[in-house]
Amino acid sequence: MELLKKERIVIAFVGINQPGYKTVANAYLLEAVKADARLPEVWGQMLDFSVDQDSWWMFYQLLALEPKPDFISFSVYCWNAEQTFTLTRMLHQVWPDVKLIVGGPEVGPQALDVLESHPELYAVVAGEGEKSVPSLLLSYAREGEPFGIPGVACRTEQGARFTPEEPIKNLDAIRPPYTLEHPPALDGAAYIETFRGCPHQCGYCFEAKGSTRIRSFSWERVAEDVARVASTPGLKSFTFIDSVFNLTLHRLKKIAEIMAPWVRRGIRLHTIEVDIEAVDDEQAQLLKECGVMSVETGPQTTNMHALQACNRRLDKEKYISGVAACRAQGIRVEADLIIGLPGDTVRDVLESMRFVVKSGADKVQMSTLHVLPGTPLWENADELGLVYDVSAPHEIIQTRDMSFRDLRKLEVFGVALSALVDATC
Amino acid sequence: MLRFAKIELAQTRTEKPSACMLCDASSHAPADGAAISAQLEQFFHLSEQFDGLMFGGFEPFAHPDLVGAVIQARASNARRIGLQTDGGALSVVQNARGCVDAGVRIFEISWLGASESSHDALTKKQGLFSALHKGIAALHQVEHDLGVNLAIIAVLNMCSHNQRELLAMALDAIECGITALRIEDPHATLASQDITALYDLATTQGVAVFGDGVVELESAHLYILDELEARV
Repeated sequence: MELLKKERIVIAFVGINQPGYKTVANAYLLEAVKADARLPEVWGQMLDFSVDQDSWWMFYQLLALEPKPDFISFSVYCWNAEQTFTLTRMLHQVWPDVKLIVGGPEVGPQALDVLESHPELYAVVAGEGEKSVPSLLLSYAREGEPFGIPGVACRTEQGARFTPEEPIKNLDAIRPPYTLEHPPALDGAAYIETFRGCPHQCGYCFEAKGSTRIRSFSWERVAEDVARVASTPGLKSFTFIDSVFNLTLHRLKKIAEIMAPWVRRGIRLHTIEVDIEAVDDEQAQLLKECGVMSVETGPQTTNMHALQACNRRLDKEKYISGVAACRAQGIRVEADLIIGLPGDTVRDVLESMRFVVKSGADKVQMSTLHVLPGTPLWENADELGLVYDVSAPHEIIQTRDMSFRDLRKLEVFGVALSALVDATC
Repeated sequence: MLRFAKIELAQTRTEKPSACMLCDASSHAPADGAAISAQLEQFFHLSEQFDGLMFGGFEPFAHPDLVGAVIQARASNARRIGLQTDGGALSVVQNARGCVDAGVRIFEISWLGASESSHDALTKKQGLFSALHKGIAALHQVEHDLGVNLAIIAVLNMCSHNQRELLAMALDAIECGITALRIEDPHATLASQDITALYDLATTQGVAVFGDGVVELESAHLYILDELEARV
């Protein structure tokens, strides 16, 4: 057995979440480092904050950590980047010896730039961290440097370097995120995934990460994860975070089979993402058998130019029949629209709103385009005429067809429209 | 975008055509049950064309069987039910709660002035301005207590007597926590710069404006008003 130079590593995983949500990434990472036999003893803990909280209060709590951590790891998303980097900057001033690492969709696609603009960071993890974070800790335990670890960007004498990583092939090798010590949240913020990746490559989304390859957990593993979450005392609902829940009819049938005993006990699924155009009466029945209470779906826009620019398609008739099929089973449909897509004019956005209202969707969710790092829109922003804030959350400022004022007016109109649609008896 | 069938809860007779609300000389009598049922029956057959029902006509709370009419509306397939009111009766929490319990989810509340003196004078109802504010607070309380989603729309009723108060009226309504503003300017007393200023003010406060009769096609909200706020 290799003799390591550190007997123990203390690491804190920090998540700054949207209200009502809790990142599952840190739970995966914590279990990965605890289970890695190559490492010395790991004392790990997770800290969950809300974006509503003040950065200085979070800082106060981090400084109270006992024992003082060797590593602090942050999951960075567009909505928490500003607070995260406030914390890393201050932490480095007070604890210059603590190694600060960041990962997540906000930093992964621009790992070297992030490293360059944040001198306080020890490393940036790009992509899945379940392999690279344990390897980072191992290099520390050996008192080595993190250079050459797949999926990690770090500093070298020659400057910042990044070593690419292959996606994890056998997902079953990843430890389940929920344990007796860290049970799933009871307030609906418990998540399960049956696969990673996305069959679509929508221009505004980072889910596919440049590939349409799907990697699946085995059905045995999915059944175990479902049982672990659904049997949690007091838990009434959870959700699957698969990019497309009804990826295939076969998968939907398998999930319905796995969920059946839990649905009989009253467990329900909320807000799963579906391809609504694929939902017919059979699929809607299966969704109901899965315990699905509500589904979230596009169309994001109904304008063909914008759909094309975002690499999406829409069959309006199938969309409407999918909404009707869900509603006939008592499943609520939440329709998503994005304001600010390239190719959309004000009139197009309003037509899209009109379409989703007329489709019978129970809820209209309007969001403003965020030009996220690593997405096709981010890579082609100039060509597409997208002017956006380069700082997170990268909100659209104006497009070729919509002025700043138009976008802001559409946003407030969208809020009012959503409230009206939502005001059902 | 959302189309509401209007159900009149009062029969109105205009004695003398008026230029503004202050000079209005109309008389109103509550519509009888048969008249309301006939309107609801008509809606039931046309319900596919509409996204909801809006009760209006003088002051719905003056009708002796408002709750009965709302319950009848729910039975006639209405997915959304709204009420146009001056807001005064809502200041009694039981009234606000009763409406929501019956199924009303959208409240259109009239604003005629930005202060007690102007609003009460124009509506000819002493104390209405204060009652309206209490009414909206009561709706927010009911929304919280029952866990339901309400849409509260402040209807800015404009005439030559209050056109200078437009922005102050809007701000007052926004401070009450309304969902959106709607302009009613039947006599076109507002100049286009007044309306532009209103949209700018509301947008910077995060509140949408609905309305009618303004033509400025390149601008989002105006297209919305023109095309999407069609009411029947």
